[in-house]
Amino acid sequence: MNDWTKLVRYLDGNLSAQESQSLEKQLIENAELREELALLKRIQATIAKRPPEPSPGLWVGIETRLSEEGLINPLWDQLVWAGKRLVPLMVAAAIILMAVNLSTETGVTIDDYFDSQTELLLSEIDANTSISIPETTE
Amino acid sequence: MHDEQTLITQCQRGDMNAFRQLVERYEDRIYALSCSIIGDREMARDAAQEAFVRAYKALKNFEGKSSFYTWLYRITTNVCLNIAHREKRRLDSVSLDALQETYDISPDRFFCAEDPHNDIERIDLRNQIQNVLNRLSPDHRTVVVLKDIEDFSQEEIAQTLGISVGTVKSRLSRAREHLQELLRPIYGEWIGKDSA
Repeated sequence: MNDWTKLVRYLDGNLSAQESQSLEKQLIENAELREELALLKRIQATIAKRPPEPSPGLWVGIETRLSEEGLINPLWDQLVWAGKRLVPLMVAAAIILMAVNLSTETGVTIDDYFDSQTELLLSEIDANTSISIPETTE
Repeated sequence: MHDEQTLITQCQRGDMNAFRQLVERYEDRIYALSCSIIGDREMARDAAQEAFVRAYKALKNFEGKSSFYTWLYRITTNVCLNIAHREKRRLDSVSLDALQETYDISPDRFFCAEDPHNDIERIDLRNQIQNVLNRLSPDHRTVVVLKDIEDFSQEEIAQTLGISVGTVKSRLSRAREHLQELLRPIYGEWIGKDSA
């Protein structure tokens, strides 16, 4: 093993303790070898600090490839995604529409409807429990 | 934010939104690795996308014996090495002059111990380091990237590349020797300037 190979193995931790000691002695005596080691370390440190690349935003390309290969159906996935989120909204909209429909058919407004429901609920609570509703001052 | 195992399980059930979250979690590192091994941003972008597509296809068989990240790294290095070997053959047929044009190293910038102060210096340093790495063969470049940039142990490199630890040591040694030969004159110039 020549000195240079020893230096590389030394730097990468691939020398035995005995070989490392022997090389360290050589380094004390040999300026040229010290300079080689310094260069080796400097190169390694420079490569290690290679600045990162800017964020690439790969998703669109990946989705296109998967779609082209028939592995996914983006339109269907979007519908499923939207469906999961829209169901609660659709239920709420349906309730409101029903209430509006009720008010136009009976002449009862939405406020009247909710007031009557609240009164009904409060009277049931009053009848079944001893909970008293505190009076409010306007 | 879901944990990785939950996202993997959701992916295996066909949840694309979970896969998208995995991509977004790792794309920076996978793209950086691809750039370092291939040495060309456009090709690296294609390679990184290809790696994720392959990962998606193979995800059903992923059993979690290694970490997802290690597994993804293995796929990416395989994709990148194939491209880098193919590209090397193409570049070998290009004139040497054309290659020399890209080999422009500023000793002060390259060997400076301080981190770059602004984006221009950062891009410049990144390009200079990449130009030097590009002078190595794809196999040698990959072990240097995994060891020095990604901070892998020699055992992890061997596992990632599917080669023995002895082969990793030998490639690393030859790669460092090549780098030393390339940069020794520039280093000499820098030391001369520094001591002047």
